[in-house]
Amino acid sequence: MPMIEKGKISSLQLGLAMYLMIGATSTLIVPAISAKQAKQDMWISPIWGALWGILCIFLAWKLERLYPRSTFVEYSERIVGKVAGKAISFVFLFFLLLVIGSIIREYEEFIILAFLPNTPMAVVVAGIVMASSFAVRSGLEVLVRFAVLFAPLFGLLLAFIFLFLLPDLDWQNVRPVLGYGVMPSIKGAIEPIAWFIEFFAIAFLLPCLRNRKSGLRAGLGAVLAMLATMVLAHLTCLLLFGDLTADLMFPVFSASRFISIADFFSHVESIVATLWLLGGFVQISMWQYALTIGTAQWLKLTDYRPIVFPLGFLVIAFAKWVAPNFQDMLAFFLTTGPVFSLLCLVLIPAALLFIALIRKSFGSGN
Amino acid sequence: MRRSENNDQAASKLGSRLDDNLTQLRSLYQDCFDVVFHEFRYGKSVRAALVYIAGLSNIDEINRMILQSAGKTEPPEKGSGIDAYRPIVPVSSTHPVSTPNDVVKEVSDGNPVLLVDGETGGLAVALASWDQRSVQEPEAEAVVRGPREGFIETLQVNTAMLRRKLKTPSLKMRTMTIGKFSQTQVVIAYLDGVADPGLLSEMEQRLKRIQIDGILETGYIQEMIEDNPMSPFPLLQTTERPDIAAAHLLEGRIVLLVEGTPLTLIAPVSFFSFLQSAEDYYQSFYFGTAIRWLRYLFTLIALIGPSLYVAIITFHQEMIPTTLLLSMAKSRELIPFPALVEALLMEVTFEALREAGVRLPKQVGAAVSIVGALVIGQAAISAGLVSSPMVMVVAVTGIASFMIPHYTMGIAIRIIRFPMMLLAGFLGFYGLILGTLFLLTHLFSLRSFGVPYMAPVATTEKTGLKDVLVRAPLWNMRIRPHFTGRWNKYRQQPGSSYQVRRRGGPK
Repeated sequence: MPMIEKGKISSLQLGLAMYLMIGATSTLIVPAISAKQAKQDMWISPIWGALWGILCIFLAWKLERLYPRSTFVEYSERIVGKVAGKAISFVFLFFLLLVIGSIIREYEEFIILAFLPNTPMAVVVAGIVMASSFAVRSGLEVLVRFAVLFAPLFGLLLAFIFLFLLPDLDWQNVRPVLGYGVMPSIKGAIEPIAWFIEFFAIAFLLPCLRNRKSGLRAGLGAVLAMLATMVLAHLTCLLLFGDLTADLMFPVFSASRFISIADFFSHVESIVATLWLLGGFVQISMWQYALTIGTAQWLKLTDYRPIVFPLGFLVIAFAKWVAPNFQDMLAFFLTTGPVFSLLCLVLIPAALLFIALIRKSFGSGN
Repeated sequence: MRRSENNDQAASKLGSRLDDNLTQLRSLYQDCFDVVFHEFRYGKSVRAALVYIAGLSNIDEINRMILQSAGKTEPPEKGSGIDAYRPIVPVSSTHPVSTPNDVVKEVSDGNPVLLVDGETGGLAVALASWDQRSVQEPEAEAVVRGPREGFIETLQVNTAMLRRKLKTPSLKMRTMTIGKFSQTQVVIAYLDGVADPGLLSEMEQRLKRIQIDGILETGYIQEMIEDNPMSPFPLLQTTERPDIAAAHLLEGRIVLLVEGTPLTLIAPVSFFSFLQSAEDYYQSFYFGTAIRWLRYLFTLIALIGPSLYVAIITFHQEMIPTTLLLSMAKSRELIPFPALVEALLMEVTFEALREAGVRLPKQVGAAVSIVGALVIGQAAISAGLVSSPMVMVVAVTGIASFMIPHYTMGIAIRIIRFPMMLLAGFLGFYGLILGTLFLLTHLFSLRSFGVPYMAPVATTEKTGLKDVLVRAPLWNMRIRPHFTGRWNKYRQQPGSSYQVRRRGGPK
């Protein structure tokens, strides 16, 4: 089957796109959740998460090696047959819808908190989804250009928040390091893991890579960059707020409110939120792109552009349906969410890879 | 009816009887008082006629070279062909024409056509000459350092100016005629061996597809051949400076010269070439880089300056330092409108003033600027219509939009400013972000003759950033831009840049 996506991307573009695809929300709310379990060891939790990220990159990369130039939706049918493959892909696409819904919901809460306390949710959500749909419709090449432009900005933003807060940071907060054993940091890693395994979404971008050999390296690079960013974000919160981090909604953003240099460079949270939203835009549109291209392949369409806006409407609805309120969504992230993520992003791909390897080794695979 | 008749006549061949030919041409040129049919004799017996348009041909030369000598010259033997008259006409270039169509074409170009009784066909004499503007400094693209000459309305002068910059047979100039009635000559100039051959054929194809009655300015062509005709951004660059045109030729681009306008078209271009001026390369590279950054900053202000102000005043007051906030609140206290209305009011007025200033006769223009400055600047504030910070923002934005070196890009940015203001007024920073994202999505998906418009930003080409982020020293820019110049990569001898840096000049 010919590829729907005509664009080709470079490994740098792939890496930066993956970085933002996970990164923008991981630093937004994850520190608060991992702080609940890991307390002063919260900055270690992302390291456990990154191991899972590497695993997922490897899964996606290996599957794409076995079935070159095809995405998850395409090779799942070739591995387990048409009916079962369609069913698996449907579950996966539904999962994507849920992921996008919750990402947008996080941003919606964030925007309302940071910018527009009195604006109805629908206006905020519709605005960003319209922008991202417009971008998705323009193709992958446009999306990755956004990633190349915004990813460095986003990384610098977090680095600068940390640097500008240096005078206020209390390094005593990290002690005792691993004082209660390894377990708290592993328990606290549930959320970072749930985010890191989203790196499996690289499966939708790998087929478009110009130089296929560089895919693994770009993916792993993105995981490491993500790890550094997350550790930095966790450290910022931990050193500034200590145990309080767990009670904050968007801890890193709250931290940025403490920036005040020479009484002049202060109240920068609007700028911080702006830059954050730029990263978030890339994240939303990359996921929406994965959903759109996956759906188009699932329906065997020859062009994905006609379904961009209809899916956009569905995404708007899911942003509302995903949870009745933000507290429920956080609860979902700690209970059912990771299980569903683990099933779709690790177990199913691992099973597929297992079956594919067996089929290949017995020579019956195509 | 008459048209088809005319066409039939025009397609036929010229005969050997002078009277028949003249009747034929006279009926073609019926009711054209400016066309002159001058009959005279060669020697004593041979009748001849000269067809030309008054004002397009050099009457003095016609009198001197042809008519004065005609009576004294002994004509060649009858029936020896029109070519036999070429030695008799003492003009550097003559060439035979055979159909009334050719005659019309030559006459329209200003070349008188000589018809002789008894000879088939006619002889076009290159005596075209009409009043033309002298070469002047281009007013819209002035420089402090750099050549002062600009293109004019006459195509041949323009091609000569270009040829004088690039004295090589590699500078090719293909020509074609566009426009059913205007018959406008268009020249496609490119550097052979540097420009992409695919680009050239694409350009020719797009030009051939234009079916229009007349081309009066390069703008007509530009709108017809742009990749994305609905975009507010110019996807082709115009210039009236030969040095800019030559620089683009050297980078592998194509320059279109059109008869009758001093503006030439350059393709393909990127967004950033609209923010570069020729002078960036003539001044020192430190200055060039600094000026470029200043220009980027003010382009951004021209685009979102008022919207930023509106967003901060309406939604994000906490960003303003307290003392400033107090004084701003004081000046806004008596203003009846929200910041958005205030901004729109002032911006629209400013645009109107500017437009009026451009179109008005020079004597009145000064009055407009006085009225504008007084009414807008002072009276509006004391009348309590707008606040003084707003006037400042509008003024800075106005200055900023003059910083953009290319007028076409300036217009695009000025237009987009208004939807941005609306978004900022309704949704604050969030609206501004959404607007920026829509804008960037559009810019990222634009292409100019297949080249990404935002190149080299966020593309795979990294060396191009040397000419966008900074203006690298000339000796350091060794290779041509990737998207247009990769067919002839090096513009400097490899290794020479190292020598320049070390010893100040290649040995």
